Amino acid sequence: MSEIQTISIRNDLHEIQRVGHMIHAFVVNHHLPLSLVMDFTLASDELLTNVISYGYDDEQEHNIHLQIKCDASALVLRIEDDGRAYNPFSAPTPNLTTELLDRPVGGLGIYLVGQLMDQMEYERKLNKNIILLRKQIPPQKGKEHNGMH
Amino acid sequence: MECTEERQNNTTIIGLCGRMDSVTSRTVEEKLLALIENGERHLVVDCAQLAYISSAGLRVFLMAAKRVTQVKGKLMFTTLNDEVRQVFDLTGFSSILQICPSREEAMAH
Repeated sequence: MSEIQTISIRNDLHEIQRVGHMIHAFVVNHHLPLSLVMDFTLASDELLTNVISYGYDDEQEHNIHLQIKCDASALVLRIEDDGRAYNPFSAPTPNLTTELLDRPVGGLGIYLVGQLMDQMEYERKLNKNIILLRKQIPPQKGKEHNGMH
Repeated sequence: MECTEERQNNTTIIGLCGRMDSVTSRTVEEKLLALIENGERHLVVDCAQLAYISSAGLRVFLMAAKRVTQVKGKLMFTTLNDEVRQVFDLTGFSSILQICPSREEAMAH
């Protein structure tokens, strides 16, 4: 089983919620574990917030294209933007062992993405930033069996 | 994001309702910092109705916690749901912020 859902959003932070809705609908319609909704919603929120906030040198409207798909083993989200070349996964990881007053404020979003996803890839192609996020579909908890025992 | 505010014995309880993301976190930030600037030293952030938090929201909580510590006050977060708790755990925030299971327990401190 494989199906792809796509959505395009404008470079406006208020648009990010639309992606969350798409992810929720996709996971539910494909009967996938609901934990994937939060994982992908949060991961995409973090990446999109970065792109929208820092990715463009102009004040123009830009489109960001997303694509979600699943196969038998994993859910994959693709994010494509035409902003400045930037690989978010090349940023240094923040120090998360420091005391409260020393804790740095930045870098948290990308770190979270890394905690939520199994695989993250970046590619720069034809003036576009392309990010792929991949996570194994966890086993369903308490799934009912259709067959006989 | 709706914030409720009430006072009980010297403590200000802020109830968060909704999401804390890159759009909505600013209102909470302004509210928390204003309360601290106005002299409030005992704050409880009740997260029972907080459905979602991203790093934007965590940053606000961190800044408020740092500020409160600087003025020798106290800030506690209560009633985190499983998903919000997971975000706290993944980022190590569970060990640097004061978390309580319920409002009542936070008030007892």
